Amino acid sequence: MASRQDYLDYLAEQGYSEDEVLRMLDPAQADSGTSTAVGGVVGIMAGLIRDGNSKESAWALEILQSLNANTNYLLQNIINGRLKKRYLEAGIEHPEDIFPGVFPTNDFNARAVAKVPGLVLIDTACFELIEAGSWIYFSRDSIDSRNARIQSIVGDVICTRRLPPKSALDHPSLRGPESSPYKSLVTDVTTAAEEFVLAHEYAHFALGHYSQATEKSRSRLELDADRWAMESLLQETTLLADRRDGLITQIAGAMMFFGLAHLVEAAQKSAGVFESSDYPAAMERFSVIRELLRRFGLEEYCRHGEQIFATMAHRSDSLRPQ
Amino acid sequence: MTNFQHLLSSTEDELLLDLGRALTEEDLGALPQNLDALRERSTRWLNARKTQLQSLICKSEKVQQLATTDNSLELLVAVIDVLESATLGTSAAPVAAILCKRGLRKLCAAHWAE
Repeated sequence: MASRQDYLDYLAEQGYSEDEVLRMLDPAQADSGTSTAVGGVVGIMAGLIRDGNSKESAWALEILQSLNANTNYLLQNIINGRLKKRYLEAGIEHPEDIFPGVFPTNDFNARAVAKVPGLVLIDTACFELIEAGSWIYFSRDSIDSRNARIQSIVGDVICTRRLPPKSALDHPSLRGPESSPYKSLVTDVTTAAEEFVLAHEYAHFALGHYSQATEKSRSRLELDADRWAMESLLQETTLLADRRDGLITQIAGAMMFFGLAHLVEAAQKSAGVFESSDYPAAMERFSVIRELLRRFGLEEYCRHGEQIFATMAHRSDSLRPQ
Repeated sequence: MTNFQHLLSSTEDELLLDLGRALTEEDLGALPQNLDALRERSTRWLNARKTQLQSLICKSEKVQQLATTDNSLELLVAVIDVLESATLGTSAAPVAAILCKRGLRKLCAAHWAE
């Protein structure tokens, strides 16, 4: 199956390089306030390393290394690493030797590469938009205002191919110690949405979609992959934790992805860059997953996810987020 | 089967989209492709392969000969033949059509001046 070298070779073959993958701390994206704060943290970490206390210096070194890395570190070691570990611990059958890599293009997409079995590519803007969407959603602002901000950011990414600015991750309501619970929700839902995207790509390999690509419609393959992703994530959350919050977050993450996909579709159509195809619309994918959750008797865990989708889809007349 | 008429009548932008689709056609993407992303994919791919493509096409005497005539169909077929003999990893037809549209004399200026 795929290896890091396969990933690098594929990038080179397509005219890209890993040097273009976004840094964990991108100097071009960081504003001066962030840079100063980060500079201070780096100084403290360097001090810990110099002190030579083995436990703390190892911890500081690991953090500095991750700050110095690109977002492949985040994707491979954190998001994919944790997902695989949880699948293994829960005994969920999943494809082994998947190699996920960031595809350095500012698009909102992810794909399982046909030419390199096991290679999964996540476009840079995919996780960046998920993060921005989560920050905006959990800011304590009116639903109309949040919807307008998310739509504006999605529109910019689609029209200009530029990533969301760091200012998208800031709002007065998310500053200060009292905002900690909301920030925690941002992190949890962002991670759950990213895991859903990755699990969807795992599904194409788990369900043997390459051998069925000519028999089944693209729409059927994508809906099946969504179902596998949601079911596997719910299964591992239930088996490992049996915690209500975990289920709510995992569902909310999937709905965050569908909500953004819905906005991306609209922005692409408006910008004249929508590729008509037999892909299911995000609205249909959302409905299929909601139906799946109903069949599993999980309606009560669905509410928050439905609110996220409603906000994204500008159905401000429906449920107001708590 | 190659639709030569389509290749000859398409604009460069349409051909770039065709190449982008060919480069990603078997991939299973989470969402439909963005047309701008397809253009970027094909442009990047062509730039990365420029030297290889020059080396393949410009060495062909048949291509060089046909490039001096007005027979665009025969020239296109000859370029496709040359590219199909190599391992490009994608369909040769849109690549050949784009290069013909951009002008082979320009692509091969250095080679053919020798």
